[in-house]
Amino acid sequence: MDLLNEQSSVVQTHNLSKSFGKHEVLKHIDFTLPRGVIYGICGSNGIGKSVFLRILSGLILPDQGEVVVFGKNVGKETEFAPATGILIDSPGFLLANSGKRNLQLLASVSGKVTPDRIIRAIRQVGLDPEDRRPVSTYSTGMRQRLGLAQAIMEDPDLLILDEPTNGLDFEGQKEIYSYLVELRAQGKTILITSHSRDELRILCDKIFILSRGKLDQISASESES
Amino acid sequence: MRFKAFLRIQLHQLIVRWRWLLPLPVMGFLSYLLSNAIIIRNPPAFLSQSGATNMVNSWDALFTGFGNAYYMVFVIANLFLLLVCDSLPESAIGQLAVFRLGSRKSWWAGKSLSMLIAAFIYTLAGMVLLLGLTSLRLGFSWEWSKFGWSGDTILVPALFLQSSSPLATALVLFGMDVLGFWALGMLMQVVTLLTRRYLLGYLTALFVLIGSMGISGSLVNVADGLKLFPAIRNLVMTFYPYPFREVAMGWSYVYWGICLTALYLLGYILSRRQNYYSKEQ
Repeated sequence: MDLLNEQSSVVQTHNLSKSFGKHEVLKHIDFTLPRGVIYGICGSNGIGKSVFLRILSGLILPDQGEVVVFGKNVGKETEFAPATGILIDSPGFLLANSGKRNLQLLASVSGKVTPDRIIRAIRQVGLDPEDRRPVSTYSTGMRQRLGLAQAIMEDPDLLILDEPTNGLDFEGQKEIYSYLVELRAQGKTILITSHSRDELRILCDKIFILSRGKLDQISASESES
Repeated sequence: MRFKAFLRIQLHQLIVRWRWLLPLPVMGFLSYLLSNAIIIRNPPAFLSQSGATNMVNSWDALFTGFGNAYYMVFVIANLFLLLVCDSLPESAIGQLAVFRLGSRKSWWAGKSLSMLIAAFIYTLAGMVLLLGLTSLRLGFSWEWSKFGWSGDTILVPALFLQSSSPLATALVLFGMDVLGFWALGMLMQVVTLLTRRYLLGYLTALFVLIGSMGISGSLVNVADGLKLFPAIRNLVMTFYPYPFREVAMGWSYVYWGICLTALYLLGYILSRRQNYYSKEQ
């Protein structure tokens, strides 16, 4: 049974569709994300990458089809994806509070995080947990790091990250990538989006492209082009 | 505990904002207008006549301000609606909180409860500000003023003047207004749930208020239940536009209770299909 669980997929979508008015953003998408991999989704801005990730996490309900995360049907058996950390769009926080205070507030909603775990998550993304400055004084890159810290602080098995390196300089991107690779080595599963194919090529086991509502895997030669 | 933490984030986003300083100048200006109006009706020479004390006091201003349908609709209720009009669309941190809370039903309960708390704080702050500021010019007393006793001029039904203290009467009005603002806020949220546009929510609530003033004028010789129908009659103590009230104040509480129950249930049903979009979508 354990072996079966190990091999089973973390995320599965079947016939997933979503429209906004007459605009079909996602068309009958079947997608499987196995355990312990990093998969990337690329596509131009506004193509529907965030919508797809929001549907996987349960924040948006699909018009048609189903999403199963860790064996639970999102929207039926559970309202939101279980054991999942998310970073979707630009992470927003309570600007008058410090980064740590923001994470403490979110942690008290989930009720699963110890104070030590919060401090560790902040350190892991390269921020200082003792920094008492309000988030309003943070740079875009620092906010992005804080967003990543909130996604990992509950030690989730699945990470859904929407353009997590936005606003980071090259060094910052490298740090985040090596951290994500470390997480994969620990058996975590990661789904990441970017509008840059090159960025994903460095990191991902497989790359998909979202275009005209369809999600297609890119072959090795394509991904290098 | 988890819900309490979620509520804290909701309240922080709803109330800890610069716009919540707006009641200060607005109530300040209203206090100035009301004090002037009361003093003009009671010239200083008359007030000082034969050493009469407590000819007017700040309760007169409070009941005249919160009892005047025009002030109520266009200033007091409208300001509350403006303060909370964008409370429903979930911010980025709000979405992260909902995701951790794990339930859209609890999310709706949180939205409703935070609206009640906002209505409570707003009404309390508004009344205390008006009472405090007008007391600087009109003075303060725990008793009704002689001006108040003069009849319907302070927009309080005569029964209250005979049987209640100003504080007890203010508490009755406070309860009505908290429930009323809560219900109007909920109406705004339900319309936003339906349309995804909070401006429509705000305009609907404002339309209901202004429309109720129009309807009020024609509702005299009708059944008691119908007399209570216009929302404005349940926000002020008299039966606008008439200076009297024919139905007990308790029925206004029942009225808002029914509205709140209906709006909560409607929102509860709608929230089950609620999507949390990014701000651009």
